[in-house]
Amino acid sequence: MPDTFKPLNASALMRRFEPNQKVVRLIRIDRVLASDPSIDVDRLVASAPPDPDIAGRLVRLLNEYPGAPPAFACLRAEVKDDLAAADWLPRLIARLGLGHHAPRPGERMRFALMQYLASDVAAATGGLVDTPFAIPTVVDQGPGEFFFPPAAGLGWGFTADLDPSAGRPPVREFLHHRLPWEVRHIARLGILTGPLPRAALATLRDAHLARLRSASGRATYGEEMSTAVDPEA
Amino acid sequence: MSLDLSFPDLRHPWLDALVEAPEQQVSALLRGAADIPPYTRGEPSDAAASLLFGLPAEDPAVRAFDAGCLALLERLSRDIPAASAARWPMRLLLLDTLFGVILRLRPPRTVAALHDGYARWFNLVETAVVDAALDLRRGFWRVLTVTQDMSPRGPQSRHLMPLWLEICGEAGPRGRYPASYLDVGLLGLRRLPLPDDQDANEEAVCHGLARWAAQQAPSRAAFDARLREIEAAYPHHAQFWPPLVERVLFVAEEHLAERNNRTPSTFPAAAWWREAMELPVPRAGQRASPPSGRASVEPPAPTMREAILRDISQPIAALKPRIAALMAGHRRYAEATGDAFYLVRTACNVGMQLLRKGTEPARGGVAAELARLALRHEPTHVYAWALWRDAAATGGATAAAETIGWEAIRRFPENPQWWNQLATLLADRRGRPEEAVALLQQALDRFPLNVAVRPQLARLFSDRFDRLDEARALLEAAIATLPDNPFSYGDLAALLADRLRDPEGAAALLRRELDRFPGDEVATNMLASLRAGRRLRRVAKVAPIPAAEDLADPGDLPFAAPEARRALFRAELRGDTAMRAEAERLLAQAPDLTYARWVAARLGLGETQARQDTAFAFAFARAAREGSPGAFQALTRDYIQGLDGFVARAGLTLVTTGSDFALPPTANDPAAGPRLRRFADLVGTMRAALPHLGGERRRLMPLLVDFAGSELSLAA
Repeated sequence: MPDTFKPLNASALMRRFEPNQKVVRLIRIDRVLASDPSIDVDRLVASAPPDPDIAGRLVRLLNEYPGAPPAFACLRAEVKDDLAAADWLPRLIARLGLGHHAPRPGERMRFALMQYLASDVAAATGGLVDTPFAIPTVVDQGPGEFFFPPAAGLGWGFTADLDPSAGRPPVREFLHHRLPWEVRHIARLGILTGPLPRAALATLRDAHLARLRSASGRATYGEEMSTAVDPEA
Repeated sequence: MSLDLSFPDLRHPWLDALVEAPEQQVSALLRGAADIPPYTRGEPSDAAASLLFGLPAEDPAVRAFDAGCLALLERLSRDIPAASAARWPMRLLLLDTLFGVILRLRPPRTVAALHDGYARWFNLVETAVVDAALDLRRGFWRVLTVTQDMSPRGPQSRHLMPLWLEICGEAGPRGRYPASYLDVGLLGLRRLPLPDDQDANEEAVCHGLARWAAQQAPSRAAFDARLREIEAAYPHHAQFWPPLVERVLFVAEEHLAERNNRTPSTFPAAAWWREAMELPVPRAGQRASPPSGRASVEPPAPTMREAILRDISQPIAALKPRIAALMAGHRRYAEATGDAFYLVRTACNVGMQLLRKGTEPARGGVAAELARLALRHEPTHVYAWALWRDAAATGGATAAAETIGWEAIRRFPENPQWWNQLATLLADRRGRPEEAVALLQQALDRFPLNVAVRPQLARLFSDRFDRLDEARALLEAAIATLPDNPFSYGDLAALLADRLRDPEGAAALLRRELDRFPGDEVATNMLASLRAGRRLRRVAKVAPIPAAEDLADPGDLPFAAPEARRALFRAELRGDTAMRAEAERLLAQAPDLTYARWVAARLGLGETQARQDTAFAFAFARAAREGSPGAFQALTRDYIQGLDGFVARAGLTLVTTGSDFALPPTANDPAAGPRLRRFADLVGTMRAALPHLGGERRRLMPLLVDFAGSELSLAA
């Protein structure tokens, strides 16, 4: 079991997570598809609902991944408008702060949008994991271009919107224990062709920091420490 | 995820014993007698979860466990009603433990059986409430809350939503259930299966919270605590909640206004909730503005209903698909949001208009469907009950209409309209005017001041039996009792002139009425008719009685309960010997039906039943049979809190010389729940009648006993 869901990370565990709500997770599938070139993704993308045979092979490949790394996800309710839009995939990439998916001009990236109930995650642990949901912290990912651990006490992580000028409410993100995928979890597939418009990194980070400060009510959150606040200095 | 534990050495040896004898081993597990080291001392649900951990659903032991749970459930359903008083609590404890195991492990066949036979299982547990800890009714509902996705009706069925909403509204000191039931109601709403286009159940949960807050009037701290729980369970950005709360409160206040003669009505928590959401709080006496934002699911546009009502006289074949489309839209909205206000109002409105604007039997069928739909969402809606009965009669199913009529009397005994209307049906459509007379005579005992009972009985006597003197005496009594009711003067004048050949007496009576109310046009016209030598009243033709017995069972109504009510009526009519035979026949037909057992207890057969029914209705019926002040004083000591205590004190008033009936201070609150409002109506009836009864105040006791029993066997 990853440390994320162990008692040592207790302050980040989400114990009051309502199990009966829908969760979505976007997975880039290029790597797993490379291991089986016979999977016709274009056909899979075009078929609705997904062709069960091809989808079944895709799911098997996804489940072959060893280990149980915590999975980033969000509540479907928070991205409902994005999912209803024709350009749902680039919108979702932007809202979820998935800035590392930045295709070069003409490059194609393929994604599967997985949808399931939070209770599916809990059921999949077979009762072995007490709390299979957690707030993402530095335990899971060090500070990066598109990731800020949330301020203590916020209760949720928030994604860094890649388009801060849109002025959209922030999307809560969380981690959950590994869920063995089933065909029914594949909500849709999509292909992203580069390039994507992108705000300047400093702009989006500043906007995100401002949001976290606003949400936490801590105006100095994320500020550089100074001698005034550092007793060791 | 299932771990492969199929290697024989890893399997606990008890699993083989379980496969050999499922029921015996599950029973032993529950009683702590199974050979399951090292889990012997564990809680049965923990032990079962450990023993079956990691086994796939198709494992023989998992299947055997399911079969064992189901077999034990069936056995307990037979044992509990037959158990002696000494064994009864132990049987209940075993069932409670079994519910705990089912809750934890969700054995699919057992869960499906509990959902599928809801009425049967509810009947087993509804009076099995020993104390706050051993409450089988709550335990049963808790199992259903977390297994709704396993219902045989399909993984997306939200059919239990009206039940959860009702439980929320009634959980607390002003309701039918203890306060702890709010957790059950809210959990049921949270765990409603989600249709494809819905992400979570926050709107339904908010409707549950609003019902509870309106009916139970909690403290601000208690309300805020519940609100925080909901906001924590459903994280949304700040802009999400205000429009949802606006919709929920608008609907809750529309409900209250409808009950309160369209007067703007609200409740304290509505203002707190609006303040928390920074929504404008309407001033006292003003209605909130309709919600401005669009929800993800909307009810059908009002124009759709209006267009149907405009064309309501068209042949039913043309209307039916339009009505179906309208109601499908309302059902989708109600099931997604928990707001059934528009559905119920539209169903009743369209159904009533269908019956008013045509007599095609097929119109009755459509109207009956509408009534049933409304009642599934709001079982206490009186218009929907009346619509269902009238629709059945219009459709030619007069036996079904009669059944519904008895059920309405059973559920709402304090309302005399059900008695009058059923009497009309019995006399005019069922060919049993003698029974109609008896029913009205019982109604007269219960409602001595009702304006309609005596005139209706008088008409039956004069028109159907030529018992003219009795009719005359009734109408004279009606005038003496209620001298301000103008209709009795007209009825008596018509009887005198048309049937008793006394036009002078009729004219004198009408002049007397005109002295009192010079503007009474009916009396003026009657006098003119008298002078012209015309008849004053035309006797209505009685519709032909169907040659063959039509459908008696109206469907999705527990048929045995209205049958029991009718049996009670007949038994009271015939005297002791026949009463006993009637009750014995009834118990033989429906031995497990709580209401049937209550009827038997009421008729004095309860002592032969081993079962210890805990419901207040049984205790009240026993006290009423004994009839002594001591019996009711004991009852008031046993039932101090809640509405039951007030009903018990009302009984004491009837058997002593008490001058008034106590009423909960909140009874006239527009947000009071259905049972409290009904009790307020009943007290109003009894308060008015008491000064007219002299030493016969006990005549009202059957009305109170009926009221106490009206909450039994309501599961459909």
